[in-house]
Amino acid sequence: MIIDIHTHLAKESGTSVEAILAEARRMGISRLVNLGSAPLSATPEQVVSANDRTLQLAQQHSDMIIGFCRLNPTHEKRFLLQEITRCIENGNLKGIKLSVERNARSPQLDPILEACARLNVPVLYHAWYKTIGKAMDESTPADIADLARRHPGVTLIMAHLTAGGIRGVLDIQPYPNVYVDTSGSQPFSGIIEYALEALGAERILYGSDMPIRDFSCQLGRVYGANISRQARDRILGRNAKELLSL
Amino acid sequence: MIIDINTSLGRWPFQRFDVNSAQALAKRLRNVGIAKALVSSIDAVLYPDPAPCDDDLLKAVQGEPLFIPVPTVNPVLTHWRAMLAAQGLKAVRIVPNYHNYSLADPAVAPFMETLAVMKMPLLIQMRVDDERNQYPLMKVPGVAWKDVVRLADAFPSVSIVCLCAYRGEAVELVRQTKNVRVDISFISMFRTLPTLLQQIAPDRILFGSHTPFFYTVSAVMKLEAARQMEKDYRAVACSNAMQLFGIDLSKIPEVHQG
Repeated sequence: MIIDIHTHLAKESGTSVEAILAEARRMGISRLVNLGSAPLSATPEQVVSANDRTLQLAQQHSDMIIGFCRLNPTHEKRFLLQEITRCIENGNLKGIKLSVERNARSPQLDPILEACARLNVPVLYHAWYKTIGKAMDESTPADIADLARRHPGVTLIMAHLTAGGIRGVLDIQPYPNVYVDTSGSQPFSGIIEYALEALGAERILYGSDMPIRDFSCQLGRVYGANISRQARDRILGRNAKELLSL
Repeated sequence: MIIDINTSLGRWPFQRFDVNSAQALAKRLRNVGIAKALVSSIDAVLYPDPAPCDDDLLKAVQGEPLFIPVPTVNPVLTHWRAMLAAQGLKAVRIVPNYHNYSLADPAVAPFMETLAVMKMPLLIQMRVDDERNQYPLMKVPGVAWKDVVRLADAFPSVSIVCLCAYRGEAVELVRQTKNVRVDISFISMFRTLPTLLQQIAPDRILFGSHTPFFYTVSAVMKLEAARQMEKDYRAVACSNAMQLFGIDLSKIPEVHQG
């Protein structure tokens, strides 16, 4: 069973949901986690609109699509908690996606993480060690590690293994509540093997970041890595299946 | 059968490779159905004189029929003519960004004129890694695609292949020139190759994996997504490279995928 923990079924991509699902099936992927899509620094209205679409797709394609609720932590606490209630407690979404609007060290994250602890849902958080092009409040893996330390009862999925690189793996190593997804940048060799050695297969999740990226190329990272069949199966789907209670 | 036009051998300070010999690299490539590979020296990217690195590469791949060694040449250095005098060259590679010269440098024109006379294809390494992830004290921007367009226009009889171009760069390079081709190693989007084939003619795209920097399987899986487009698949997988570099695959035994 292959589960892709990191996809964006975005209207703006110009690729239809049906085409994406057909391609996923062709590649042997049985479930996709849709992290939705909203502009950077989205307004509350834009967040609601993005989550409406995620809710709708998760309902329409409940056999394949799992939705995560997208939030902009710079919004008022009252709105953030309302949206969590609407999408997760009263809706069918299974986790939260956070991007670059607020750094993971910010106390503004705390009410979101406290709600996640109460609801027992994971947070997938963008992270990158960028030499160039870093957004002002973009998180690094060290920032994610800080968040994990502050909220040990919440499961975090740090996005973009290849972009956090070796240092990123070492940053999160002491925090067992942090998983990492295999997306990010290009299919640089060796990083899956390194993460496996440092974190164990149980903490690595296959993710593509499709449609910015390609299922085929991203699966090739896992198929191309020099790892055991058991580890590969865990990374491709078993870990996500357990994490999302599928 | 697949011809990989973008492989390398050597050491790179920012990655540890698990294929550190010509034999190990050949095995890696054969295991995924690659029958021939253009191979360049990684050491030649950073060492001030690429010539001894090219010599090392030649010795390392000697006796391994899978490889076609491609020298890395720096036209700003004085001895590039001697490097082109080697017998049996199928192509030469330049790495302008790491060798710190512009394609508009006056030294480049005589080099290109010589390639035109020799009918020698030129590989331009647009980048080695993702600029966003580079070591903070060694930022090396990619080669500017517009500079390649100007070079290609100035020397229309030289066939140029850009290695490791991003999709946007690849599309512009092909649209704005008649003599530039691209490899697929750095191109990634939903259904990469079928989508790219809607934007670029199949005769301008070549299979390149950027092994050992990248997992070879990633490029192979991109290619396999176009398997149903039989003629285009074959063009990208091997026939474009056969034609451009004069490679005869009929002399190669069938490759078995492992």
